[in-house]
Amino acid sequence: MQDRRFSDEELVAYLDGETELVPMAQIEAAVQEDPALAKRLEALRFDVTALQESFELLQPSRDVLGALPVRGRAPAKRPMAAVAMAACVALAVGFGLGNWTSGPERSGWVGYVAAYQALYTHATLDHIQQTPEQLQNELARVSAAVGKDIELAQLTALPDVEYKRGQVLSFQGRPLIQLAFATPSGVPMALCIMRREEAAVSEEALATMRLEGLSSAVWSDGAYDYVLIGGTEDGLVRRLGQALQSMQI
Amino acid sequence: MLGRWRKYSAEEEVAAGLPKVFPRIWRYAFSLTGSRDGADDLAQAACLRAIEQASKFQPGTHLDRWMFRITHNLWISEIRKEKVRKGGGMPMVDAAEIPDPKQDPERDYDRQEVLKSVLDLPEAQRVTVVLVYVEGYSYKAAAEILDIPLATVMSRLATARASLGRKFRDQRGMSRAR
Repeated sequence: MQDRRFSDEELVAYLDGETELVPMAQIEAAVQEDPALAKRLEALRFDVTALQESFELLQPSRDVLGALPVRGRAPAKRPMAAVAMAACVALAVGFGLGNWTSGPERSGWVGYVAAYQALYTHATLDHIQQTPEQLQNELARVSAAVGKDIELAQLTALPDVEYKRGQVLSFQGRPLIQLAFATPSGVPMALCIMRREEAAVSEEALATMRLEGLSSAVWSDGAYDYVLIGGTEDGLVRRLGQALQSMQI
Repeated sequence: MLGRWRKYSAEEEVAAGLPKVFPRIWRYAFSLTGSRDGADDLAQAACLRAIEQASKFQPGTHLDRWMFRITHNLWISEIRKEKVRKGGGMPMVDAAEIPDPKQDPERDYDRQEVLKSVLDLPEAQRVTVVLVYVEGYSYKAAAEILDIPLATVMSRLATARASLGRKFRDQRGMSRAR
Protein backbone atom coordinates (compact mmCIF):
# COMPACT_ATOMS: atom_id res chain seq x y z
CA MET A 1 0.00 0.00 0.00
CA GLN A 2 3.01 2.27 0.32
CA ASP A 3 2.80 3.25 -3.31
CA ARG A 4 -0.77 4.30 -2.89
CA ARG A 5 -1.29 7.89 -3.84
CA PHE A 6 -2.90 9.94 -1.10
CA SER A 7 -5.06 12.88 -2.04
CA ASP A 8 -4.61 16.36 -0.55
CA GLU A 9 -7.89 15.80 1.26
CA GLU A 10 -6.49 12.75 2.96
CA LEU A 11 -3.24 14.48 3.83
CA VAL A 12 -5.11 17.40 5.37
CA ALA A 13 -7.35 15.05 7.37
CA TYR A 14 -4.15 13.36 8.52
CA LEU A 15 -2.72 16.71 9.67
CA ASP A 16 -5.97 17.45 11.47
CA GLY A 17 -5.91 14.13 13.29
CA GLU A 18 -9.15 12.86 11.81
CA THR A 19 -8.33 9.27 12.68
CA GLU A 20 -11.67 7.87 11.65
CA LEU A 21 -11.45 9.24 8.15
CA VAL A 22 -7.96 8.31 6.99
CA PRO A 23 -5.43 5.51 7.57
CA MET A 24 -3.09 7.48 9.82
CA ALA A 25 -0.40 4.81 10.18
CA GLN A 26 -0.24 4.20 6.44
CA ILE A 27 0.14 7.87 5.66
CA GLU A 28 2.78 8.26 8.31
CA ALA A 29 4.76 5.35 6.92
CA ALA A 30 4.39 6.58 3.36
CA VAL A 31 5.63 10.06 4.30
CA GLN A 32 8.74 8.57 5.88
CA GLU A 33 9.64 6.76 2.70
CA ASP A 34 8.52 9.14 0.02
CA PRO A 35 10.22 12.59 -0.07
CA ALA A 36 7.77 13.86 -2.67
CA LEU A 37 4.84 12.98 -0.45
CA ALA A 38 6.59 14.59 2.53
CA LYS A 39 7.00 17.75 0.49
CA ARG A 40 3.34 17.79 -0.45
CA LEU A 41 2.46 17.35 3.21
CA GLU A 42 4.69 20.27 4.19
CA ALA A 43 2.98 22.49 1.64
CA LEU A 44 -0.34 21.88 3.34
CA ARG A 45 0.82 22.76 6.84
CA PHE A 46 0.08 26.07 8.42
CA ASP A 47 0.06 27.64 11.86
CA VAL A 48 -3.34 26.78 13.26
CA THR A 49 -2.54 28.40 16.60
CA ALA A 50 -1.77 31.70 14.89
CA LEU A 51 -5.09 31.41 13.11
CA GLN A 52 -6.93 30.83 16.37
CA GLU A 53 -5.16 33.76 17.98
CA SER A 54 -5.96 36.00 15.05
CA PHE A 55 -9.67 35.46 15.63
CA GLU A 56 -9.30 36.75 19.18
CA LEU A 57 -9.13 40.18 17.55
CA LEU A 58 -12.79 39.80 16.71
CA GLN A 59 -14.82 40.73 19.77
CA PRO A 60 -18.30 42.23 19.90
CA SER A 61 -18.06 45.98 20.51
CA ARG A 62 -18.77 47.47 23.86
CA ASP A 63 -20.48 50.55 22.48
CA VAL A 64 -22.78 49.40 19.71
CA LEU A 65 -25.79 49.72 21.93
CA GLY A 66 -26.78 53.05 20.44
CA ALA A 67 -27.33 51.34 17.11
CA LEU A 68 -29.62 48.76 18.60
CA PRO A 69 -33.28 49.08 19.48
CA VAL A 70 -32.73 47.98 23.05
CA ARG A 71 -34.54 50.70 24.88
CA GLY A 72 -36.34 51.35 28.07
CA ARG A 73 -34.38 51.00 31.21
CA ALA A 74 -31.23 49.62 29.71
CA PRO A 75 -28.29 51.83 30.62
CA ALA A 76 -26.84 53.32 27.46
CA LYS A 77 -23.24 52.32 28.04
CA ARG A 78 -23.66 48.65 28.80
CA PRO A 79 -22.11 46.17 26.42
CA MET A 80 -24.49 45.31 23.66
CA ALA A 81 -24.13 41.61 24.21
CA ALA A 82 -24.93 41.84 27.88
CA VAL A 83 -28.01 43.93 27.31
CA ALA A 84 -29.28 41.88 24.40
CA MET A 85 -28.67 38.76 26.42
CA ALA A 86 -30.38 40.13 29.49
CA ALA A 87 -33.40 40.81 27.34
CA CYS A 88 -33.14 37.39 25.70
CA VAL A 89 -32.93 35.62 29.01
CA ALA A 90 -35.72 37.64 30.50
CA LEU A 91 -38.10 37.01 27.67
CA ALA A 92 -37.20 33.39 27.24
CA VAL A 93 -38.01 32.57 30.81
CA GLY A 94 -41.06 34.72 30.60
CA PHE A 95 -40.90 37.79 32.77
CA GLY A 96 -41.08 41.36 31.62
CA LEU A 97 -38.46 44.03 31.88
CA GLY A 98 -40.83 46.92 31.41
CA ASN A 99 -41.53 49.48 34.06
CA TRP A 100 -45.28 49.74 33.74
CA THR A 101 -48.53 49.00 35.47
CA SER A 102 -51.13 46.58 34.23
CA GLY A 103 -53.27 43.77 35.51
CA PRO A 104 -51.15 41.02 37.01
CA GLU A 105 -52.87 38.28 35.02
CA ARG A 106 -51.51 39.51 31.75
CA SER A 107 -48.37 41.27 32.91
CA GLY A 108 -46.22 38.21 32.25
CA TRP A 109 -46.99 37.72 28.63
CA VAL A 110 -47.23 41.41 27.80
CA GLY A 111 -43.79 41.92 29.31
CA TYR A 112 -42.54 39.02 27.27
CA VAL A 113 -43.92 40.52 24.09
CA ALA A 114 -42.42 43.91 24.90
CA ALA A 115 -38.97 42.60 25.70
CA TYR A 116 -39.12 40.52 22.55
CA GLN A 117 -40.17 43.38 20.33
CA ALA A 118 -37.40 45.55 21.76
CA LEU A 119 -34.90 43.20 20.16
CA TYR A 120 -36.23 43.77 16.68
CA THR A 121 -34.24 45.99 14.37
CA HIS A 122 -35.23 47.46 11.05
CA ALA A 123 -33.27 44.66 9.46
CA THR A 124 -35.31 41.95 11.16
CA LEU A 125 -38.20 42.37 8.76
CA ASP A 126 -36.39 43.97 5.85
CA HIS A 127 -35.55 40.77 4.09
CA ILE A 128 -38.98 39.20 4.33
CA GLN A 129 -40.83 39.25 1.02
CA GLN A 130 -43.72 36.85 0.71
CA THR A 131 -46.38 36.49 -1.94
CA PRO A 132 -50.00 37.07 -0.88
CA GLU A 133 -50.57 33.34 -1.18
CA GLN A 134 -47.66 32.54 1.12
CA LEU A 135 -48.86 35.15 3.58
CA GLN A 136 -52.38 33.73 3.49
CA ASN A 137 -51.23 30.15 4.07
CA GLU A 138 -48.92 31.20 6.86
CA LEU A 139 -51.64 33.28 8.47
CA ALA A 140 -54.15 30.41 8.36
CA ARG A 141 -51.66 28.12 10.10
CA VAL A 142 -50.55 30.71 12.63
CA SER A 143 -53.97 32.01 13.60
CA ALA A 144 -55.26 28.45 14.02
CA ALA A 145 -52.65 28.00 16.77
CA VAL A 146 -54.73 30.24 19.03
CA GLY A 147 -58.07 29.10 17.63
CA LYS A 148 -58.64 32.06 15.35
CA ASP A 149 -59.30 32.43 11.65
CA ILE A 150 -57.82 35.75 10.61
CA GLU A 151 -58.21 36.95 7.04
CA LEU A 152 -55.20 38.38 5.24
CA ALA A 153 -57.43 41.16 3.90
CA GLN A 154 -58.02 42.37 7.46
CA LEU A 155 -54.31 42.87 7.96
CA THR A 156 -53.50 44.32 4.57
CA ALA A 157 -56.36 46.79 4.95
CA LEU A 158 -54.58 48.58 7.80
CA PRO A 159 -53.35 52.03 6.83
CA ASP A 160 -49.71 53.12 7.24
CA VAL A 161 -48.24 49.68 7.82
CA GLU A 162 -47.39 46.70 5.65
CA TYR A 163 -48.11 43.20 6.91
CA LYS A 164 -44.94 41.10 6.75
CA ARG A 165 -45.11 37.83 8.62
CA GLY A 166 -46.96 35.70 11.14
CA GLN A 167 -45.41 33.28 13.58
CA VAL A 168 -46.26 31.24 16.60
CA LEU A 169 -44.26 31.89 19.74
CA SER A 170 -44.83 30.36 23.09
CA PHE A 171 -45.15 31.77 26.56
CA GLN A 172 -44.92 29.32 29.43
CA GLY A 173 -45.92 26.51 27.13
CA ARG A 174 -48.96 28.32 25.74
CA PRO A 175 -49.14 29.49 22.14
CA LEU A 176 -48.93 33.16 21.38
CA ILE A 177 -49.10 34.51 17.86
CA GLN A 178 -47.10 37.43 16.55
CA LEU A 179 -48.19 39.23 13.38
CA ALA A 180 -45.41 41.51 12.22
CA PHE A 181 -45.81 44.75 10.31
CA ALA A 182 -43.42 47.42 9.09
CA THR A 183 -44.04 51.12 8.71
CA PRO A 184 -43.00 52.79 5.42
CA SER A 185 -39.71 53.80 7.05
CA GLY A 186 -39.11 50.20 8.14
CA VAL A 187 -39.96 50.41 11.83
CA PRO A 188 -41.05 46.95 13.01
CA MET A 189 -44.38 46.63 14.74
CA ALA A 190 -46.15 43.55 16.06
CA LEU A 191 -49.66 42.53 16.93
CA CYS A 192 -49.53 39.75 19.49
CA ILE A 193 -52.57 37.71 20.42
CA MET A 194 -52.95 35.22 23.22
CA ARG A 195 -56.05 33.32 24.27
CA ARG A 196 -57.06 33.80 27.88
CA GLU A 197 -56.92 30.73 30.04
CA GLU A 198 -60.31 31.66 31.41
CA ALA A 199 -62.57 33.90 29.40
CA ALA A 200 -63.61 37.02 31.24
CA VAL A 201 -67.08 38.43 31.14
CA SER A 202 -66.24 41.88 29.91
CA GLU A 203 -64.00 43.47 27.38
CA GLU A 204 -61.12 45.66 28.42
CA ALA A 205 -60.87 49.04 26.84
CA LEU A 206 -57.83 49.87 24.80
CA ALA A 207 -55.04 51.41 26.87
CA THR A 208 -51.91 52.93 25.44
CA MET A 209 -48.54 53.06 27.14
CA ARG A 210 -44.82 52.74 26.59
CA LEU A 211 -43.38 49.29 27.13
CA GLU A 212 -39.63 48.88 26.84
CA GLY A 213 -39.72 52.40 25.47
CA LEU A 214 -41.96 51.29 22.59
CA SER A 215 -45.43 52.66 21.83
CA SER A 216 -47.98 50.05 22.83
CA ALA A 217 -51.71 49.47 22.85
CA VAL A 218 -53.24 46.74 25.01
CA TRP A 219 -56.83 45.54 24.99
CA SER A 220 -58.98 42.45 25.42
CA ASP A 221 -62.25 41.16 24.04
CA GLY A 222 -62.76 38.88 27.01
CA ALA A 223 -61.58 35.73 25.24
CA TYR A 224 -58.27 37.04 23.91
CA ASP A 225 -55.65 39.53 24.99
CA TYR A 226 -54.09 41.79 22.39
CA VAL A 227 -50.92 43.88 22.32
CA LEU A 228 -49.85 46.11 19.47
CA ILE A 229 -46.30 47.33 19.96
CA GLY A 230 -43.50 48.99 18.03
CA GLY A 231 -41.84 52.27 17.22
CA THR A 232 -42.35 55.46 19.14
CA GLU A 233 -45.33 56.97 17.36
CA ASP A 234 -47.93 56.80 20.09
CA GLY A 235 -50.66 58.26 17.87
CA LEU A 236 -50.11 55.72 15.11
CA VAL A 237 -50.19 52.80 17.52
CA ARG A 238 -53.35 54.09 19.14
CA ARG A 239 -55.04 54.54 15.75
CA LEU A 240 -54.04 51.11 14.51
CA GLY A 241 -55.03 49.52 17.81
CA GLN A 242 -58.46 51.09 17.59
CA ALA A 243 -58.84 49.93 13.98
CA LEU A 244 -57.88 46.36 14.92
CA GLN A 245 -60.18 46.40 17.92
CA SER A 246 -63.13 47.64 15.89
CA MET A 247 -62.67 45.00 13.20
CA GLN A 248 -62.73 42.36 15.97
CA ILE A 249 -59.81 40.57 14.51
CA MET B 1 -47.81 17.95 31.40
CA LEU B 2 -44.59 16.21 30.61
CA GLY B 3 -44.58 17.82 27.17
CA ARG B 4 -45.03 21.17 28.74
CA TRP B 5 -42.22 20.60 31.20
CA ARG B 6 -39.89 19.50 28.40
CA LYS B 7 -40.67 22.52 26.33
CA TYR B 8 -40.01 24.86 29.18
CA SER B 9 -36.81 23.11 30.00
CA ALA B 10 -35.55 23.49 26.42
CA GLU B 11 -36.38 27.17 26.51
CA GLU B 12 -34.56 27.58 29.78
CA GLU B 13 -31.53 25.76 28.51
CA VAL B 14 -31.36 27.97 25.43
CA ALA B 15 -31.78 31.12 27.51
CA ALA B 16 -29.14 30.07 29.99
CA GLY B 17 -26.63 29.04 27.32
CA LEU B 18 -26.95 31.95 24.91
CA PRO B 19 -24.70 34.45 26.69
CA LYS B 20 -21.78 32.07 26.67
CA VAL B 21 -22.16 31.14 23.00
CA PHE B 22 -22.83 34.69 21.87
CA PRO B 23 -19.22 35.90 21.39
CA ARG B 24 -18.49 32.85 19.23
CA ILE B 25 -21.64 33.35 17.19
CA TRP B 26 -20.75 37.00 16.72
CA ARG B 27 -17.26 36.07 15.54
CA TYR B 28 -18.73 33.58 13.09
CA ALA B 29 -21.23 36.20 11.95
CA PHE B 30 -18.35 38.58 11.34
CA SER B 31 -16.59 36.04 9.17
CA LEU B 32 -19.78 35.64 7.13
CA THR B 33 -20.80 39.27 6.79
CA GLY B 34 -17.37 40.88 6.83
CA SER B 35 -18.40 43.84 8.93
CA ARG B 36 -19.11 44.67 12.54
CA ASP B 37 -22.58 45.98 11.74
CA GLY B 38 -23.36 42.90 9.73
CA ALA B 39 -22.13 40.72 12.58
CA ASP B 40 -24.28 42.63 15.08
CA ASP B 41 -27.38 42.18 12.95
CA LEU B 42 -26.79 38.55 12.08
CA ALA B 43 -25.82 37.50 15.61
CA GLN B 44 -28.82 39.31 17.00
CA ALA B 45 -31.17 37.79 14.43
CA ALA B 46 -29.75 34.37 15.29
CA CYS B 47 -30.49 34.99 18.97
CA LEU B 48 -34.04 35.93 18.15
CA ARG B 49 -34.46 32.88 15.99
CA ALA B 50 -33.01 30.65 18.70
CA ILE B 51 -35.49 31.98 21.22
CA GLU B 52 -38.38 31.59 18.79
CA GLN B 53 -37.40 28.01 18.10
CA ALA B 54 -36.20 27.15 21.59
CA SER B 55 -38.84 24.47 21.96
CA LYS B 56 -37.21 22.61 19.05
CA PHE B 57 -33.89 22.43 20.84
CA GLN B 58 -33.18 19.03 22.35
CA PRO B 59 -32.07 19.60 25.94
CA GLY B 60 -28.78 17.96 26.67
CA THR B 61 -27.45 18.27 23.10
CA HIS B 62 -24.88 20.81 21.91
CA LEU B 63 -26.38 24.28 22.12
CA ASP B 64 -23.35 25.80 20.40
CA ARG B 65 -23.70 23.60 17.30
CA TRP B 66 -27.40 24.33 17.17
CA MET B 67 -26.68 28.07 17.34
CA PHE B 68 -24.03 27.87 14.64
CA ARG B 69 -26.49 26.01 12.43
CA ILE B 70 -29.17 28.64 13.02
CA THR B 71 -26.72 31.43 12.25
CA HIS B 72 -25.58 29.76 9.07
CA ASN B 73 -29.08 28.96 7.87
CA LEU B 74 -30.20 32.50 8.54
CA TRP B 75 -27.27 33.80 6.54
CA ILE B 76 -27.91 31.46 3.62
CA SER B 77 -31.67 31.70 3.50
CA GLU B 78 -32.32 35.32 4.15
CA ILE B 79 -29.64 37.81 4.83
CA ARG B 80 -27.13 36.90 2.16
CA LYS B 81 -29.86 36.74 -0.42
CA GLU B 82 -30.93 40.22 0.51
CA LYS B 83 -27.40 41.57 0.54
CA VAL B 84 -26.71 40.13 -2.88
CA ARG B 85 -29.98 41.44 -4.21
CA LYS B 86 -29.32 44.94 -2.93
CA GLY B 87 -25.62 45.15 -3.59
CA GLY B 88 -25.54 43.21 -6.81
CA GLY B 89 -22.72 40.97 -5.65
CA MET B 90 -21.31 38.91 -2.86
CA PRO B 91 -20.38 40.79 0.26
CA MET B 92 -16.69 41.43 0.60
CA VAL B 93 -14.83 41.55 3.83
CA ASP B 94 -13.80 45.09 4.59
CA ALA B 95 -10.28 45.16 5.96
CA ALA B 96 -11.00 48.47 7.67
CA GLU B 97 -13.38 46.60 9.96
CA ILE B 98 -10.59 44.61 11.51
CA PRO B 99 -9.52 46.17 14.80
CA ASP B 100 -6.34 48.24 14.87
CA PRO B 101 -3.28 46.94 16.63
CA LYS B 102 -2.98 48.43 20.08
CA GLN B 103 -1.31 46.59 22.89
CA ASP B 104 1.39 44.63 21.15
CA PRO B 105 1.67 46.22 17.71
CA GLU B 106 4.05 43.72 16.17
CA ARG B 107 2.19 40.67 17.34
CA ASP B 108 -1.16 42.18 16.50
CA TYR B 109 0.06 43.11 13.07
CA ASP B 110 0.91 39.48 12.42
CA ARG B 111 -2.45 38.40 13.71
CA GLN B 112 -4.20 40.91 11.50
CA GLU B 113 -2.38 39.59 8.47
CA VAL B 114 -3.43 36.04 9.33
CA LEU B 115 -6.99 37.11 9.95
CA LYS B 116 -7.13 38.97 6.66
CA SER B 117 -5.92 36.00 4.69
CA VAL B 118 -8.63 33.81 6.22
CA LEU B 119 -11.29 36.42 5.61
CA ASP B 120 -10.10 36.69 2.01
CA LEU B 121 -10.88 33.04 1.34
CA PRO B 122 -13.99 32.28 -0.72
CA GLU B 123 -17.00 31.96 1.58
CA ALA B 124 -17.36 28.20 1.38
CA GLN B 125 -13.73 27.67 2.42
CA ARG B 126 -13.82 30.47 4.96
CA VAL B 127 -16.77 29.12 6.95
CA THR B 128 -15.31 25.63 7.00
CA VAL B 129 -11.90 26.89 8.14
CA VAL B 130 -13.50 28.94 10.92
CA LEU B 131 -15.61 26.04 12.19
CA VAL B 132 -12.79 23.49 12.13
CA TYR B 133 -9.71 25.54 13.02
CA VAL B 134 -11.07 28.42 15.06
CA GLU B 135 -14.02 26.74 16.73
CA GLY B 136 -12.33 23.36 16.91
CA TYR B 137 -15.15 21.25 15.49
CA SER B 138 -14.49 17.83 14.02
CA TYR B 139 -15.06 17.41 10.29
CA LYS B 140 -18.25 15.55 11.09
CA ALA B 141 -19.63 18.28 13.36
CA ALA B 142 -18.73 20.96 10.78
CA ALA B 143 -20.48 18.95 8.05
CA GLU B 144 -23.60 18.80 10.20
CA ILE B 145 -23.56 22.50 11.00
CA LEU B 146 -23.12 23.43 7.34
CA ASP B 147 -25.40 20.64 6.13
CA ILE B 148 -22.89 19.40 3.57
CA PRO B 149 -21.25 15.99 2.98
CA LEU B 150 -18.08 15.11 4.85
CA ALA B 151 -16.20 14.88 1.55
CA THR B 152 -17.05 18.52 0.86
CA VAL B 153 -15.60 19.57 4.21
CA MET B 154 -12.43 17.69 3.31
CA SER B 155 -12.04 19.24 -0.10
CA ARG B 156 -12.74 22.75 1.16
CA LEU B 157 -10.12 22.40 3.88
CA ALA B 158 -7.57 20.94 1.46
CA THR B 159 -8.04 23.87 -0.90
CA ALA B 160 -7.94 26.39 1.93
CA ARG B 161 -4.84 24.84 3.48
CA ALA B 162 -3.04 24.93 0.16
CA SER B 163 -3.59 28.67 -0.18
CA LEU B 164 -3.09 29.54 3.50
CA GLY B 165 0.04 27.39 3.62
CA ARG B 166 1.49 29.37 0.71
CA LYS B 167 0.69 32.70 2.33
CA PHE B 168 1.93 31.90 5.80
CA ARG B 169 5.03 30.04 4.76
CA ASP B 170 7.47 32.90 4.77
CA GLN B 171 5.65 35.10 7.20
CA ARG B 172 6.29 33.32 10.44
CA GLY B 173 8.29 30.40 11.69
CA MET B 174 6.67 27.09 11.00
CA SER B 175 7.37 25.89 14.53
CA ARG B 176 3.72 25.64 15.45
CA ALA B 177 2.46 24.50 12.08
CA ARG B 178 0.34 21.39 11.91
